[in-house]
This record gives sequence, C-alpha cells and structure tokens, in this order.
Amino acid sequence: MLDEKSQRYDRQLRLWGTKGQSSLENARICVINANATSTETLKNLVLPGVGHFTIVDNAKITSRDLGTNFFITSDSIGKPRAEITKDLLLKHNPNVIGEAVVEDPRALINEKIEFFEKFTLIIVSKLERPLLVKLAKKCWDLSIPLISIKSVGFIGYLRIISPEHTVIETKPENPPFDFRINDPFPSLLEHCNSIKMEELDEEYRAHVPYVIILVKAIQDWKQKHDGKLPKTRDEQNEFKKAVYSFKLRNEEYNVDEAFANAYKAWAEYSIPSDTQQIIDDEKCNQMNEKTTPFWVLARAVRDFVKEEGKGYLPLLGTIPDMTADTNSFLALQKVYKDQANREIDIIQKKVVELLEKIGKKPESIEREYIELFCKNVMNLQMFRFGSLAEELDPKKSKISRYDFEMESEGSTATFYLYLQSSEIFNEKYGRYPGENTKEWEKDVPLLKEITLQYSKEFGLPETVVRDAESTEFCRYGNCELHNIAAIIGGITAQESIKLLTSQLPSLDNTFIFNGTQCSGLKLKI
Amino acid sequence: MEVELNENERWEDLDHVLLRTSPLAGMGFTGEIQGKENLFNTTKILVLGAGGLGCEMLKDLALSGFRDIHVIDLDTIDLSNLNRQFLFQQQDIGKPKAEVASRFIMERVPGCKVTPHHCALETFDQEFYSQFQIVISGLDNIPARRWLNSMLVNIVAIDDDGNPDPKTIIPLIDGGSEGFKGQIRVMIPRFGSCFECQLDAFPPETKFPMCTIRNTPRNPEHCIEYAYAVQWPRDHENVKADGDNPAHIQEIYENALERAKSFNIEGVTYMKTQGMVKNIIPAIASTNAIIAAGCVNEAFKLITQASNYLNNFTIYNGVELYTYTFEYEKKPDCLVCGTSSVKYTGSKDMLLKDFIEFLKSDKNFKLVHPSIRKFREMIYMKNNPDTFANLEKKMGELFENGDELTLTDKAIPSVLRLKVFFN
Ligand SMILES: [Zn+2]
Repeated sequence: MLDEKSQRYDRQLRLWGTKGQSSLENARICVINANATSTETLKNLVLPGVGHFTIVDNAKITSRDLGTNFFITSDSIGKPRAEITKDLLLKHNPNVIGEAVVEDPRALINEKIEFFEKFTLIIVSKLERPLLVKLAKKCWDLSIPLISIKSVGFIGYLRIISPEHTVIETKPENPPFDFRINDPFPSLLEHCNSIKMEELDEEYRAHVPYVIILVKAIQDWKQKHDGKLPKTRDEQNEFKKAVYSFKLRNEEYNVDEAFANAYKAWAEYSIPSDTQQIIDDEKCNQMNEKTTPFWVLARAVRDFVKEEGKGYLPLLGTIPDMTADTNSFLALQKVYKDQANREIDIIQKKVVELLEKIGKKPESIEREYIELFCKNVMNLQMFRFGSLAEELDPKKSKISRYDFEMESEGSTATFYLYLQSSEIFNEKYGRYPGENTKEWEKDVPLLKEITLQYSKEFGLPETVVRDAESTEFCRYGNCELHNIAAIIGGITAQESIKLLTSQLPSLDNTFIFNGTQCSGLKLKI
Repeated sequence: MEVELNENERWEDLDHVLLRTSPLAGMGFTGEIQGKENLFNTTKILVLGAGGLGCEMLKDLALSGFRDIHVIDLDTIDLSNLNRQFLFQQQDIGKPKAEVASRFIMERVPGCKVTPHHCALETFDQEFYSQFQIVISGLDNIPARRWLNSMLVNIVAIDDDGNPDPKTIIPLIDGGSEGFKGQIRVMIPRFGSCFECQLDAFPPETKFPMCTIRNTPRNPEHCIEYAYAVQWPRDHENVKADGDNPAHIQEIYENALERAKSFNIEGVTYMKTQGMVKNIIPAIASTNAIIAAGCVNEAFKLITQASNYLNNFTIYNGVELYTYTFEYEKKPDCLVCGTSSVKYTGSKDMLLKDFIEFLKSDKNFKLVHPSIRKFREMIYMKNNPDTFANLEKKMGELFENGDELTLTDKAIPSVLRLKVFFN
C-alpha cells in the first residue's frame, strides 16, 4: 500500500520519480506579474507540488482580469492581485507554500534587485524590456534561470535565459545501446567463448542471446579478414549470411534477431557528439571549488576515455530484453553489469582525486550520482541558452540565420519580429501596438515602420514585413486570450519542471506558439 | 471599498479579436457585434469527460465566452486525480466529477451555466446530441470516442444528391494526452476524416509472448504479467482482477515478487504492478493544460471565425518541445463515414464463429461483440440463443457471394454494412 502523497502524485511520479519530486519540492519560484499567463503557469506547478512560490505584483484587480484570469473571484475587484491569486492557487495543493509581495516589480528591480537572489527560478510575464534586461543580467550573473513569457492575442512566447543547464537524465525515446560486439572486453569475450553453439542441445541453442551470436560471428570474420570489419555493402551482406548460417531450425528466433541486428557488429564505436562536446569543453580544464558535480564527472570521464577506456566511454552496463532463456539472459546481463561496475570504480577514484585537488571532501559526490552519470554517459546534454543582451544586439543576434524568405503570410517566425518590434513601439509611444485605443488601425503603419527598421538593423530582408501581420498584431492590442495564456502556462510549467528536476532536454532557447495555426516554432536566437 | 464588476470591461481582451478584423482573420469574419452575441447567447457546447482534460476545457470555455456548457462524465473523484484535475479537492473525493466540476466553474465564473450529466455517453440518443453546435472531447478511452464519433457522423443529414446539410454538422474536437505529449484534432463529420478514419493514429498495445511469460521471464514486467494473466485467473476462477482493489494488486504484486525471486530477477515493485494491471498512463497538469486550451482555442475559432481553424491534426511533443501539424486523410472505406461500402473477402469454409473472431481482432474493425443480420434474417444475435447454432456453420452455407450483411455492435451506435465475397 502507498501513503497519501504517493497516491496523490502517482501519475507524475511515474514520469520523474521521487528524486524529481523532491527537486520540485525544494524549489523556490518567483513570478512577476499575476496575469493569466502567470497564474496558469503557477497552477501547473502548484498541482504537482512545487515547494514555494512568490508572486510579485502591485496591481489591483480590475473587471478585465476576471475575463482572462481564472484565479480571481468577482468579489475581489479592487483588491491586490498578488494576494487574491496566491490564496486561490494555494487551495489546489495543501503541500505548497505561497507568498504575495504587493510591491511594484519595477521598483524592486530598480532599487532592491538583491530581492531576487533567493529564488531557484524566476518567471516574468509581460515586463517592459528595459526592466527585463536589467533583471536578466542580474539572474545571469547569479546563474538563476529566468523564463520570459508573454501572450499577445493568438500568439504566445517563451524564452529561457540562463548561462548553462546540464542534464544527465535526458531519457531519450530510443535509448542508446553499448554492446562492444566487435571489440569485446575480456570478460565478455570469455563469456561468449564459454558457450559452444555446436555442443548445445536444440532447446538451449534457440535461447542463446543474439549478442553472443554476433560476437562469435564477428570474431570469426575478423580472423579471416586481417582483423577488419565488414565495410562494403557486399562484405556486410556476406557477414549477414554468415550470421544466418547459425540457424539450424525454424524456431531459432535468436538467430533472426542476430541477423536483424547484424549492423551492430560492424558499426564502429563512436562517442555521441553531445557527450564529446561536453568532455571537450573548456570547463573540464578549469576545476575549482565552484565546479559542479556534473563537470567533475565530465572531467573524470574525459580522463577515462584517454587512459583506461582507450577511446571508449565507461560501459553503460545495461542490455535491452532479447530472445533468451532466463539464465542465459541474466548471465549476459551480469557480464555487462560487472564490467560497468569495475569501470565506475575507476571513475570514482578519479572523482576523489579531482575533489581532493579542488579542496572538497571525497563524499561530496556520492556513488549514486557517479552511477547515474555513467549510465547516461551516452545521452548527456548541455544547454547554453544565450543572454538577452546578445539577442538584442544586431551584431550578436542569431536571428539573421533564420530564412524568412520561405515564410508564408501569417507564419509563426514572422511573429517573433513583431514581438520584438512591439517592445520598441512601447518604448517610443508608451503603449503596445493597438492598445488602449479605439483607432487601433492607425497603429498599423507605425508598427510596420518600426518592424521594418528592426528587420533592417538585424539584417533581414524587407519582404518579411507585410501589412497582414502588422494589422493582425495591432488587432491584438496586447490583449491576453485565456487559451493562449493556458497553452503558454502549460509549456512554461513543463520547461520549469525540466529545469528544476534536471530531467529531459530543455528548450534552447525560444518557442513561439501560433494560435491561428495551432502550431509552434522553436528558435535558437 | 467594494468595486463593482463591469461586464463591458470584463471581456475587453476577447473583444480585441471579436470586434476587430485583419487579413489573417477567418474567412468571412467581419468583426461585427453579432459574432460576439452569437458566442455569448446562442452557442451550446458539450464537453465529454471531466477528468484531466475536461477540467481544463471547462475553465477555458468559460473564459472564452461560452456560457451554455454541458458536461458528461461517469466517474467519481479519486485521490490520484488531484495532481492535475484542479477543480477537485481533498473533500470532493468520492463525489461525481461532472457535478463538482460544474459547480466550481459556475461559482468562479459568473454568468456561465454548466449542466452536469453523471452518466455514460451511451445514455443519450441522437436528439440529445443534436442540440449542440460543437462537441469537445477530453476522454481517455478509445471505445467511447468511437461511439460518439459514429453518433455525430450519423446526425449529419444527407440530401437526395448525396450532399451533407451543413446545418446538421456538429464538429468534434478531440484532445489526448500522455506524459509530456498530446494531440489536438478537429473533425468535421462527412467533410474531413473522422475519428474512425484516424484509428491507426493509436499505437498497438505491447503484448508479451506467452512462452516468455510462462517459461523464460527475463525482466520484472514478465513476472508481473505472469502473476496477472496466468496466476490470477488460475487462483480466482470467477473474479476478474480489479485494478482499483488494493487487495487484488497486493496479491498480484506478491506473486510477481516471488516469481521474480525464484528467477533471480530484480525490480518488481508495487507501483510497477499497479501500473501494469490498471494500464496507468502517466499524466500531468501542464500537458493537459496545453492540449485542452489548444482544443478550446479551436472551438472558439470555429464558432466565431475570428481566425482559421486547424485542418486537422496537431501533435504536441513537450519532451523535445515541438509541434507537428498535418491533415489526416479521410478513408474512402471508413466503417463510419466511408462512401464506398465495406468489402470482406474470405473463404467459404470459414466458420461463422471464426468470422466473428476476425471482426473483433482485425484492426480495421475492432468490434466488441457484433450481431449479424442478412436483410431481415437474424444470423447471429448475442442475446438470442436460437441463432447460436449458426456459429458452427460455414460462411458458404450462410451467405451467397456478394450478400450484404448488417452488423450492429456496441463499439459504434450506427449500423454497419458489409459485403461478403468468397475467394
Ligand atoms: Zn471516417
């Protein structure tokens, strides 16, 4: 039987486990501006049990809030929006602690920016650009991830700003395999040699795991071909034939599996590019007392590859299910696991040495962490999201790499430009395009002109700026539609969970949802 | 000081897209007030399911200007719902989902009427479903959605020239979610592909080979499957294992654990056992929020034409964060909306009972328990023992080449016509 909390969180624990859950419970989130996009985000974080949230907002509730924001009651008009939304959100999970700071976020950023130092994640919705730039700089220096979100009419926007995020548990849909078939480690070779196919009775023969058949076949091949692997199509077909010749009886499905997986025998081992990039990174050379466990491990693995590993990463040590009887499978599983454990021992020794060098206790990195790292060493990922300052600098922005010529009218990428130019519009006119005006159509040429200028400055072709999108964007008048707010709130919560649990790949770095087409676009800017 | 709610100001955000137009707005959209009034005063919408997606959909509809909403859900509230079905709280456990959800929405959003129906979809007939302009589904099971889809396709009136009457078309918007992923689809009965056309979109269930389960288990799943599919029916002849009964799960778990120990297999847990027996799909609030709002956004666009609606399928993947939008093609020989009659070609010597098994297992039919007529003649009716003798007869004895059979089945509310040919 399970306790109350495990039952309440059952459907999510199956995704991120108890470790992910406790990361979530240890988080302290700050949300600036309690508009619908923010409260929808918070709802999706309160329900799964984020530890603590703070809402910073000095707005008083208006009738208009009631039309978009679900966490507001009709009798609360005129009251502080931070307080009311905080109270209503907390009703959805008794395990969460929430706090309302009824202060102008502008004043906090300008005068008390150290207020933000205590958070593990900051989410900002619809903050004017100069303030956002200032806050983003502060968060960047403190390595606190910041997510900037916005919904404007049918368009939603999400941007993650942080110097770096590393993920061990990326949980790929097709997990990598690591069999070492054409270069077996001694205990694997010994195990394979101990199984004499020709001496086995019918029953056992049909249950020899295909990996063993392939190791035997490729050893044989290499002996006959000066130690070379099958390279050409013809050689590979010949090798497959040799594999198939193991099949004596129809029921030997294991040989069929070996045949279908023959490519694993001739595939040359290579370190996945993401992992290679990590172990080649400059950070592996700069060990100091601030180095995170991830980078200590990355350095240890790098040294292992150069030394004991002879070009190989530490062995994964797990094998997928395959046709075999119980004992043959478990025996093979053990061969891999034992070897992986021996290699983890070596890594651990290296980690201890590295920790000593940087003046940290050897137990500051636990065995469990080392094991997790090694089990995922083929699917590690590192994200460097890029700063806001870079994005806003025409010389550094990556937006000009994007091919806007291909974009049709109303396409999602184009709206990125309008989200940017509307900030310039606001700085110039003190309101967003089409906002607070009956004569909204008069803003269309103004917005178009500013967008044109922006595009020119960032090296984009003039043709990307058209009347259709300019009109559509002014039509929105910076309004918040609940559905778009809910979609962005959902995606922001997912990305927050990924950042906080260090599981799954993160968005790098911008996502635009286009509600006119029910589709989204990822941009790296 | 109490400040009064101002109704005009309240919907100002919606007004931007309802009362202003642009070249990117929907076809025929003018931005006049009638569109808004139609949405607020005459639109009636039905939500299927008040679970993870349903709760979100009700909230989204209420804040999109829909004010006459019905919701059907058969379920009652369970503790494991509370991590995402946010209209329910601790004190609601055991109460009907449809009723608690409706009450919450009406209390929170003044002016919005939600009518709950705590029952199965099949309780209602064509007349009931005909009163809605749109149906939006947050159901998690395929049989109920197939049934409903067939109902909506059959509601469409076809004139003498074979053209569907647009006034009788009720679009079906369907959402589905699993873990960090989900999908949104818009189905216009008789015009685009229907739910039945799209059945292939669901992956087949994973099945373990029985000999592995019995003789050569290699992992915890194999051991749990043995305890569930072999040991349980052997020990309890007339009791089905119930995933909601903790004593049942406990027994299956203990048996699986014992079997795993005897084979030296590690990793059998209570949670894993429960997951397999109940066929639990991981679910989180955020994914439901995204998919439900995507669906309601489509409903809003369909009703108001404020922007073009989705044609007709969007896949959302929150793991890699991408969307993929495409048009799922209509199947000419779809069982439900197809125009060409469905053909079956088989052997004269096949027994009727094997033919029925085929109708149940074939992926194009997936029927539950079909009854078969030939014109007016009863060939096999599951409740009529007089017809049971036909089960052992050969197809060639019962039918002639080209005979048209009518099948009825609880999977779909309509009658299915099938032409039989012999090879
Ligand atoms: Zn169809």
